[in-house]
Amino acid sequence: MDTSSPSVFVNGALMRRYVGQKVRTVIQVIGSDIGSVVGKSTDDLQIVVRGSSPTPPLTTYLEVIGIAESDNAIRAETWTNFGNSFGTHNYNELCKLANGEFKHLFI
Amino acid sequence: MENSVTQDGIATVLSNQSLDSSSVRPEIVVQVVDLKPVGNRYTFNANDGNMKMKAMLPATLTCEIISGKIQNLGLVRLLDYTVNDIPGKSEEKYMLITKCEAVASALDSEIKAEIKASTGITLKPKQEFVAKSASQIINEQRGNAAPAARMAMTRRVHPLVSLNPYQGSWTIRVRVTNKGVMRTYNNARGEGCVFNVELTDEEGTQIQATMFNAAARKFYDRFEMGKVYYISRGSLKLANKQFKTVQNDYEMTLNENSEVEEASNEEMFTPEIKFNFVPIDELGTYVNQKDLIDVIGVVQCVSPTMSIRRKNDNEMIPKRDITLADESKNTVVVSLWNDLATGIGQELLDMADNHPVIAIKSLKVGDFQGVSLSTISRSNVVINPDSPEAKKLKSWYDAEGKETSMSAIGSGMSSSANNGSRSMYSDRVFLSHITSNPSLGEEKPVFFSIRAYISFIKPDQTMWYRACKTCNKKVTEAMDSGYWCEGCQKKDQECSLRYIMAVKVSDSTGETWFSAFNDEAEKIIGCTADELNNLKSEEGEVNEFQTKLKETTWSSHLFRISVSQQEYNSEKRQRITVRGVSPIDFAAETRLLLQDISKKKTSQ
Amino acid sequence: MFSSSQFEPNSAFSGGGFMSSQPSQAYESSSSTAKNREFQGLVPVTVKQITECFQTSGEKSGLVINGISLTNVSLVGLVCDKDVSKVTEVRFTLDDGTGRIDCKRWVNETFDAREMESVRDGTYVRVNGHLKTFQGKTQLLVFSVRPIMDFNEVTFHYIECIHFYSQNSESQGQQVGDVTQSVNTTFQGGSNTNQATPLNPVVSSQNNDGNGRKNLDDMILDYLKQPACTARQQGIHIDEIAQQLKVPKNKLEGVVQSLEGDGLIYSTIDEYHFKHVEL
Repeated sequence: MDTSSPSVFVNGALMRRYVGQKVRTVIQVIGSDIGSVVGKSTDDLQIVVRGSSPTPPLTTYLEVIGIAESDNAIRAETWTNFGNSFGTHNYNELCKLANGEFKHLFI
Repeated sequence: MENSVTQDGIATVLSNQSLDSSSVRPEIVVQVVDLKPVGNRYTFNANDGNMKMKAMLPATLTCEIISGKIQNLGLVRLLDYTVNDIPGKSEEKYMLITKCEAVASALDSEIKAEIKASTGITLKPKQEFVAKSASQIINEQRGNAAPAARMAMTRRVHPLVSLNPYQGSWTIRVRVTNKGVMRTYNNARGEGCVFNVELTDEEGTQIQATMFNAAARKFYDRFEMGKVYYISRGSLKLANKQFKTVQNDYEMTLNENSEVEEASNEEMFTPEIKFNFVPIDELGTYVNQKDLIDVIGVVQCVSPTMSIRRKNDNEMIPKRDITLADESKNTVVVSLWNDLATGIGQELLDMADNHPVIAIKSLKVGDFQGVSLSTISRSNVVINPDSPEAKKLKSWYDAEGKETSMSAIGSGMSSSANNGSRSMYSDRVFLSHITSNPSLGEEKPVFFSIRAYISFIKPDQTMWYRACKTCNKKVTEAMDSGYWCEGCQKKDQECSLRYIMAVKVSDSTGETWFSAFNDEAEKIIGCTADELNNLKSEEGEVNEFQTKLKETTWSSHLFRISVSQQEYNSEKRQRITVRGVSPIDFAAETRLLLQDISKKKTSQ
Repeated sequence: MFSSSQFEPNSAFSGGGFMSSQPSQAYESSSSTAKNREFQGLVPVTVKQITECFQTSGEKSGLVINGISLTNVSLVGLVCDKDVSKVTEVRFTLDDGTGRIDCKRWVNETFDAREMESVRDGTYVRVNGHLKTFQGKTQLLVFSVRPIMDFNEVTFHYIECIHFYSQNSESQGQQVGDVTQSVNTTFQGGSNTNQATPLNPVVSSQNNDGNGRKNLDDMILDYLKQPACTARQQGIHIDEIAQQLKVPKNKLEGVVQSLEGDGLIYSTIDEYHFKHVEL
């Protein structure tokens, strides 16, 4: 087992705490360009994801795991299509809990 | 507005049997004639002035007919259709329309070839003809209408909502928004016939009118779907709550002496759809009741379409779930079925991000996931209705709603916990609650809901019995051949297998065994006992029977169970029986857990 | 939802019925669960939780979280480093974002091989398995690997980990039975008053005319409900129904009319073709 490089659950607001570290988040895709995808975080903030995006088509929701470059940009390593129907409210609650009272279960 | 049909449109349809996005779309506009309802949809003859062809509209367009957008004698543009054979009549075909749009409302008359112009036929829609004074109309009517009809014209029109059984004379002006078929019946007084219509007035008030025997025969052909009539001399009585399909305390009976006159030259009106909204947090009391309810809410999310295999006939039907929220800070899932899932459901998916407000008329309230709503064939969905309720809801949502944490109505059930409605989200327990309380169910069976994994199905157990195809009771092999049913007292050459099995289940607190009977076991295994038996007898390298059971294992479900005590070899034992199985809605389950986590936090 | 069954459930597992020759498997083991107090639940966890409890409890005492010893666990994460070099097993690493754990799936039957084929590096899966510690290394012996289809299950899993942890954290050190007991009281949230609502077994709609023969209404409906019939867009001609059900057409017509009136079937292309109304 190896827990040396976890990826922290974040929403838009929590990103700034982890600049330079590995994070994971789910965004609602707003637009994509070569080498970047712009999306909305589960707390309605804009997030720019850089890196070679996965083979299209992208679904409405996309999970990205990568390094937080700034408080609103991620360099992605892993992309997963999360489908067109996803409970963003639940995910946002998870981000809050995983960085609060129950942080020790995650990082 | 375009007022002409496409010349030789029908011929084009016949030579170009299906329209799809890849082919060139010839613009075809046809006139709707002989529009009539069949079941939950409508048929008509498509007329291009030259030829006619039978055509069928999808159920999704029923609301357009009811709202008067598509009218008899009106024009429609065909956007998507297929041409099919009428069996047994090889030269006759009919058109199944999947998409079309209204071009013009009812024209004066059926377009005939004789008056065909070289560029197509141009007729003005009726509305423009109606630019006459009211007195003119009345005079014209008087000229050729029966005296009774003239009376109707000059009398004041009553709003339908104002009628009661204690009034003298009245006249209403209503549109036929549903027409039943003529039915015959047999009772002590002999044979008879009956049919009914659903009438809607300009304000959207609805009433059901019933006609028997002579009246039925007299008015059956007179009442045409979608047309507007003046009606007087009917009688009102309290509606039979058990059978009523429209929101009205009264229903109407028309007899032979009632007056029914078509308001052909009157200005057409489009009846409003009248809603009687139930707030989401009050839906609990309607669970599994006969009443249909109306709901209004902000769209939270829209699922992709799913294909659901209907249990009784294995047919795949499209379904789409949408989640609605309202000011009660509750959400509810509405399942759109059939054409509503693929039609308006797709439209909703495309605009889900804008969180439109939708109002839905006539929904069934079920107990799936606690409380859930389901469309039926007569349900009507209106996106962003122009109503004060919708405006209020939208401004609430924009101001605070979207930031508010919502809870699924089914999960709490607290407001309706004492009405006895059974919910997959109420009385939820863990397995250890049952296994650590051996006396549970001692006096009478107790019921719980539980989320658990199937963790083992013993492949060598007897998992079915031979059942009578009629009564499902156990049969025995008859002496000569076939099977004897004690219940039916008869022999049949065939029998069917029905499940009766033990399954091991696990959750985070422990494991135990459930007994499952046919219908529930079918849901767990995913095939019938006969099918599973066939797999068992199949020979080959791959043991498909084992595979099927393994596939079933480690899948999780929501179970409704009963716990009772059974004496076996003079030892009392707990027996847990599966009463219901449903798939897990992970989003709803997450909300349930989140609620519980926050409850615990606040209690500390 | 609670589908009806004409088969009387209570007689089925009772000693006296036709099942008498068969030992009742249904409750045999439930009582044995009570006897041996070994905990067999399938606990939702993160890799981080497994690592921590391993560090605190050590190898000898087994893996214990909040006083509950972990045997079977459920995890959700991404598959990586899938290794199929051996015929009888597939190894992979599961990365759940909190850490990585080595997993091993024995491949004995066709089903095991089939299940593992559908799983690739980068697939999101739910893994249920048994935790085993050997020579200081923890490994998950996998029962099942199922690709995630609805990604709400990912959120669900982590929330379930939090929920399980928070429900059990206060009763740390107590025995398993008591721990789970406290879980229940909390989770049930005082719904004890209505939990025992009896469910009256619903008797299915009348299919019999008393002679064990289906009445004509049902025969017609059943015929029209067949997939082969519902698939035909134009519906089924009344002559065909008559022929198939071996019922004279004049006898059918009235019934068909009443079914149509009840909204159970509808006429399609003309008044002779019918389809079953789908709700």
